[in-house]
Amino acid sequence: MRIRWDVDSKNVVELSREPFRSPRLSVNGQVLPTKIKLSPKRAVEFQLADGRSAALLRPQGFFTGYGVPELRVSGTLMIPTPKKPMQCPSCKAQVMPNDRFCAACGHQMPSAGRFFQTQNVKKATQAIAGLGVLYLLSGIGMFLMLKSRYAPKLAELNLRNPNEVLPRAANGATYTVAQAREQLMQEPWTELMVYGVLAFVMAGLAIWSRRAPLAAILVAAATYAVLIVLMGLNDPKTIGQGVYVKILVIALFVRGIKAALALKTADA
Amino acid sequence: MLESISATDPKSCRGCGEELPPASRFCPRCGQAEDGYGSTLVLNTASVEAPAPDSSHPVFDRRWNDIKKIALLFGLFLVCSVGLAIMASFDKSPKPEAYFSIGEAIIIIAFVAFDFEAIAPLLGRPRLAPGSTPQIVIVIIVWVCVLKLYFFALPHLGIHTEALSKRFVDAHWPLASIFILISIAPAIFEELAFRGYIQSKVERIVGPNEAIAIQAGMFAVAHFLPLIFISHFIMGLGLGWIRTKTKSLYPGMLMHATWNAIVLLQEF
Repeated sequence: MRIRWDVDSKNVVELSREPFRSPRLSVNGQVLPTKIKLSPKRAVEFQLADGRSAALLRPQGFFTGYGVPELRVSGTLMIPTPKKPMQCPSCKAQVMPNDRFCAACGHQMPSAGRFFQTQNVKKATQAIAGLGVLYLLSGIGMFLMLKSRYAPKLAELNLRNPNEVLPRAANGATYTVAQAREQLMQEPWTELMVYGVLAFVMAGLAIWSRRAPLAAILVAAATYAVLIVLMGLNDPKTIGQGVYVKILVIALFVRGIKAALALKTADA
Repeated sequence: MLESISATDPKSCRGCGEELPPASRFCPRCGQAEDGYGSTLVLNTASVEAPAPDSSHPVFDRRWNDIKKIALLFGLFLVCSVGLAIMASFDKSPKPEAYFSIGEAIIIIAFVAFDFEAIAPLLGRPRLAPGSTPQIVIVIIVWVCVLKLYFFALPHLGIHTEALSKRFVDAHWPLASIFILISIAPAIFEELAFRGYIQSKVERIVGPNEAIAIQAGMFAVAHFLPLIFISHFIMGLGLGWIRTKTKSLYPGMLMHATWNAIVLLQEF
């Protein structure tokens, strides 16, 4: 994994981390000879070509922030160079990540702290949209699966007398053939509607998050927590399923709420 | 103008001496206008640093603590709901309902006791702005109609829910206990929690309208049934709006208790 910081047009810092090897830090292509150990306690200090002091620190992260190192030059936090070129929010001209002003229109660029907060909010809102798509696909998948699973049973029930009483079902109730048929017919639709409502809720929150990110992420986090618990109650096996994804989504929400709150507090 | 710049490239900034990227109209370091547009945009680098969102700001800390308290309250409500669902699965009497109400009551009373200022202003007499009575009456009528329509539509879409009073009637509990546990207790404690505690705390962070939506969303998902998310969100919006308009919790409690009582009466 490589992280690159274009500090300015003349200074480039690069950190490459490969498994089973200690990380290598290079300034303008020259690898620093000293051995690097990234830790939250002590920063790795070095100098840029123009003599400015730089420090690399692995912050004490919360879940997903763990291990993403921060570079500070003369105490100022730097933005790592993203894969896609960055654009000026005002005139869409291409800018370097750590420019303070847009070279084309003079628009003042956000500081690194603000940039990271905005990113965290964006990731949380993307997680909301992602959950919406996931629920929609789950709903369609469940619907088709139940339909095909019940088709042979329904075909069998169709041949029998509707008033015949069936042997006791798993939930302890007794049904006639007609009642059982109706249940089997309805269940896929109920499932589709439940997931449809969830997809609708998440889509609504994703749209709302553009206007009110803090509020939308708060409600999304509450909804997600309830859904995990609800599905766990229906079927305890689901709690363990995709547990890493669940932790990741919750972490994105918590970081998103924190970042949205910080932005709101700074703007007020 | 632009040609003259590209002709003399590379050149350095008149303000700070930084070497400029080709065809820059502004210096990306200090924002100095570089093309003879005049010196109106000369900015001092020391004073233009955008306020970075600070996560150790006292206002941020207070708000973050408020959000954590809301999360705790909501989490404890979730624990109550899980307890109710687990108890109800092997105890067919209405006792789990009673324990659930007591649990919720203890939690919200504890929260209010530790933070009484949060809801103290809402415990006075309802105060109406002059001329807003017709508005409130219309909202209540629309609110009742929308909820009625939703719960009328649900069975027609093939969704059947267990009657609220079934367990009480089966166990021969007195009629008064049904009304206390299904109509009055939720009205008092849910209003205190959602319209009182949560809405007041959130209101100080995001403003009144978003606060109504946030508490409505939490209120909806706390009911643990995806198919009623939408109806209870509308319910929460209505109750939250009434609470904001009247600056008191009592009208909302009355509306909530009345609505639950109507639903109950229809079952007899």
